[in-house]
Amino acid sequence: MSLLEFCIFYIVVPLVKVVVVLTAVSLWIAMLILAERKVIGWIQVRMGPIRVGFRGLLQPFADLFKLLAKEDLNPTQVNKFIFFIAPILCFVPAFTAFAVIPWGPESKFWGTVWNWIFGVLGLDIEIGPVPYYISDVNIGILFILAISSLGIFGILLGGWASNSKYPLLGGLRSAAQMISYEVPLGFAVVGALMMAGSLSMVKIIESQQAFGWSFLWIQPLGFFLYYVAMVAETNRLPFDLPEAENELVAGFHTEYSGLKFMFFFFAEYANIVLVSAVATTLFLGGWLPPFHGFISEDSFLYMIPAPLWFVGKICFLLYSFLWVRGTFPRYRYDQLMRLGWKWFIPLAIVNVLCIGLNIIIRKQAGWPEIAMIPLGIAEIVIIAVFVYAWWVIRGKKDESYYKAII
Amino acid sequence: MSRITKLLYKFLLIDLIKGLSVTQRYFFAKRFTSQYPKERLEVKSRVDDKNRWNEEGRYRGFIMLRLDPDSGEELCTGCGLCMRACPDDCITVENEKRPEGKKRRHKTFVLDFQRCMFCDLCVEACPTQALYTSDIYEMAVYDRKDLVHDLDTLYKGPEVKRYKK
Repeated sequence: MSLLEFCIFYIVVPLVKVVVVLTAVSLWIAMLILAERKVIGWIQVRMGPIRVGFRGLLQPFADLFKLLAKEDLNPTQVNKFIFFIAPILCFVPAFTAFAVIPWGPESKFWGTVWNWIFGVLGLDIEIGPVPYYISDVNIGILFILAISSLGIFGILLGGWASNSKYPLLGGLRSAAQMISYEVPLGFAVVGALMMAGSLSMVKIIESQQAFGWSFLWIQPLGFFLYYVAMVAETNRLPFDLPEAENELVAGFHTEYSGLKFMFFFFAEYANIVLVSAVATTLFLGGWLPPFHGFISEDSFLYMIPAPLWFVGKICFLLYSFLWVRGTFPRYRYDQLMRLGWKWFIPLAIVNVLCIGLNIIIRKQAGWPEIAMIPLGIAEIVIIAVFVYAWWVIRGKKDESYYKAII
Repeated sequence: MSRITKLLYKFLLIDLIKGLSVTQRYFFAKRFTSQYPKERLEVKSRVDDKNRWNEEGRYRGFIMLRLDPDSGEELCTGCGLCMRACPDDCITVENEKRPEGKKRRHKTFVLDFQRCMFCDLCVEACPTQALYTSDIYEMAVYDRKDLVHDLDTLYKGPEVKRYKK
């Protein structure tokens, strides 16, 4: 491989992909912000923003310019350096993690496009199929978990550096919440990883393709745990304790304004897209068409480009975020902690155990893959029976207390 | 509900799904917002300027003076009963003799909407039904002086400025 080929394959092509993905994700986030205001408006029988552009389509850009034009305010009591660096700490990891999101498989089409561009430029090189994803790290999911956890430092430091009561409380709460919900989130991910047998995001989807089923059908409990944990991770309603408006003004970003606030805002929405993308990869079958086990390979559903399926599934999850926000009231802080520690962590551990058992039983008995679904259902029933038994035993002692738990 | 059903409700998250379905229904419902300067909702007063009774009308808007619908002459006799009925003391009436006929008529009629609370007592007090509450609700002005209306505007109604934005 010549130096030119090396430069083009490992620098130019990935850089182009990085630029495309970053631009697309930023635009997507802008549209998500608009969609949130619209959907919440519609749920509340309002109209949402309709003034800027066609039916308010340019509203996020108007917001952006407003935030850019605002004075960059530094309160006198803040720790200047940390106050400055906290939004960046929040923003950068949220976008970094998009590097390993598998938007689609290797595509011959883009390979041809690149080859055509090389031909036009008069270069004598050939490139094979170009994948849609930027990179396929063999510890992809671990990378995402590690990077997205870094974003919490931004929230924490922002809350602390503001040197004010509300941000400090918001930062504390967010720290506690992240620690509580990172554990069930991790365990829920482990369930999917055991099925896939790999940490690479691409391999996880490929294993679902080979398996014939999305992991959602085999471990609905795992998906449910992951879903609730991811809502809690991104500080969204009904778990938005760190920025509860009627308690903490705006939580950790109370003292922030202008561009710095925008960084926090964008990071929050980038994180929402990110966790939805991870959920899609792990449980919903990624770029594969829905119900891919049931339809044949030459079905028209396979004609639609893979990234569209991926984005569509993420959009579905994003809509569910907004829907849940428009429906449920906020949890009380102790209820949040109880739910996390007393229900989700035990359930997540039991879920991992059950999936392990499931895999072993199936392999030992030599049953086909489809046997995992009845086995999974049986496990959920067993869990339910155990929880019910526990309920009955403990409920006799002090019913009112345990009623308050749920 | 038996204990098992309760448990099933909790495990299958029935209550949460019920809540979600309610919001989803409202998501597709007709929007309630009316874009005010563009679309103006109709309000109905109880009587119109021809003294016709409106069964559904309940709105008490700008208080206006009425002409006799048949003969077209002024109904107000300037008796000052509305002035005395007004709890806010915002009506000032003076009367004079009419050029023809026995009746008297108003010389000045000043209604100060700065203090008026649209209680309708002046309308009820009026023996000739010269006063009525109309359906006009766009009375906002930039100057407090403009809220003091006299005979010119009390017959025509206030000048409604239509702003573009």
